Amino acid sequence: MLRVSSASLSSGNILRVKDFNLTCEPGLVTALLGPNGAGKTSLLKLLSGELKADSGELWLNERQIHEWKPIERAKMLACLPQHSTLNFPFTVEEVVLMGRNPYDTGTVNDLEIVRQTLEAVDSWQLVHRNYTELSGGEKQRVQLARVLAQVWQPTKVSGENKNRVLLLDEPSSSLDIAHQQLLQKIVLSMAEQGVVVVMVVHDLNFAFYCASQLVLMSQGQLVAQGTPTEMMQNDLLQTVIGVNLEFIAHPVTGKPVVIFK
Amino acid sequence: MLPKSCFILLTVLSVIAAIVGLLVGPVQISPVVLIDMLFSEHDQTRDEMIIQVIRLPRMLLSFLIGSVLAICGAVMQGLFRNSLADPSLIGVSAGASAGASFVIVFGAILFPTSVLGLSAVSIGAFAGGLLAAWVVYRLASSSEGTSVATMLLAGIAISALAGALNQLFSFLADNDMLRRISLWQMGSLESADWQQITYCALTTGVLMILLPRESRALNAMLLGESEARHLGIGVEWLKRRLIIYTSLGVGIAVSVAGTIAFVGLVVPHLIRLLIGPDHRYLLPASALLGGLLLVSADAVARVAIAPAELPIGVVTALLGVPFFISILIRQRNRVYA
Repeated sequence: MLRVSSASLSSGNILRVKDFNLTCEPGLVTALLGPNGAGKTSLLKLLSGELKADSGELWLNERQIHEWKPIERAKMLACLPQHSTLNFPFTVEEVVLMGRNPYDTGTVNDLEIVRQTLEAVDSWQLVHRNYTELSGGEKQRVQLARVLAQVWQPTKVSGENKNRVLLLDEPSSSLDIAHQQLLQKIVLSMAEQGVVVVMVVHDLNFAFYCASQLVLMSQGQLVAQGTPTEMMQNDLLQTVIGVNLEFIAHPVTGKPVVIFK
Repeated sequence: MLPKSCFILLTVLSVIAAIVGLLVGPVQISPVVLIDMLFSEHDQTRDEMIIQVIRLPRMLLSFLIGSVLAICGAVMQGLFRNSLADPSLIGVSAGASAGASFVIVFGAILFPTSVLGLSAVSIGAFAGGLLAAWVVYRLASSSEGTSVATMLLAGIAISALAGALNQLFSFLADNDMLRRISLWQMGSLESADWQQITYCALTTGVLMILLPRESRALNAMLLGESEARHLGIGVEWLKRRLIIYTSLGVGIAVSVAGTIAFVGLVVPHLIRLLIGPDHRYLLPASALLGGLLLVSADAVARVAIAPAELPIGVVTALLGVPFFISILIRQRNRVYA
């Protein structure tokens, strides 16, 4: 479980996150929505423990996030950042294997997880390629596999089972449409296994399709929150995002689809 | 190339370089003497004296210094996530130069000529190097942690300051001091003795044990600092440890042999081209190649204009730069082909 209670974060004079409250339950996907600069990434950095809140509390399972040792935290929580800056010529296999860094599960097991995660993101054919020579979308898939490898198996900290958390910052930004659909499947299947998934997305259809909880942010604050059905009827969504929206039923699946006026 | 074959190749080449290094010089010695020395008991001949008193310590010292510079360079490049970083970036080399010049100029009045077998100049250089690295580190650190980008800038600033001090001392120096200062800066292994070897061997030994233990963390650091943190690495402590280790290593190397540029920059680069960036192999292989390179360069330094001798820093640069450039060109052509 992941819980934020009245957390605030500022950098310089700018308030990034203001008095934020949010609970993310295991098995549920939470999507953070909002315009650029709304504080989504800052919130994600608070959730991952990368930044420390100026005030308020952040709970990861039964402890506050900074009370866990780095290695313990890494066994429960994985985070895919918006950009990757790796420019050393590792092979794809080596990059994904780094996701197993927190564990001592042995090379055989780890390599098997590398295979499974690369297959899951449709990149097994890249396994021996040089990471720096991949395209942007391929790099994003490999980074996703690395992050998945970190929380691929049920995890234990000091002998106790713990919930896993997966944080994704714009995971689909460089992906082609086929791989965006694949990503939706991966997100849902991770959630099915009881993983807490929190993601920042701009694609509303992606968010409405995957998420069970939608969180709308603006200027560091939580503006609205609810299930897809609730959010569909909430006018704040249009106001904050700044476009006119319509929801229609998908002709085949019957699921709601966002279209823009 | 597989890491294993790379290690074998480097080891074989190192042994060959070591043997050649012992035999060549102003006085050419036949390999028979070497075999004789190892396997038969008799009075020492002139050639054996040369090997034992002059060339062996020198060969060992150059190997140790090359190793320590190269492994510290590899670590710095990992820490800064930039393959152009080298140990001098954090101000150690410039600080050491200033320290050495200070002692050369004011030493006669202020200091004893040697302490614990190390010359006052060496100690001045070591102190100067560590002081500079410490200032750079303090400048880059705040309550939020150490910023690698600020450290780079602080390193440039402090190096410039140390350079200015160095020039000031040179300005105040008389002719003889001036010559000593510039010779020191060119780097030399001429004064190699067993005392220095002991210090270097201890430092190198400790670093060879400590640094490879950070390999996995360094690999993760290449992904980015926050990624490394998410992978469970205590990034702040890691940075602190690595800066201390490399300052010590480079500080010792520079204080004993002067500034030998280039080894720390080029060697890790070459190894990465051969076996990839994985620090588990990169660090030990860099140490081997660094040692090999400096032993070879020292041999060239002794032979090139015998009976006189070139400063080793000049040799590493003169031989290393064209070689490095040729690799860069080949790499460029491959990328844009």
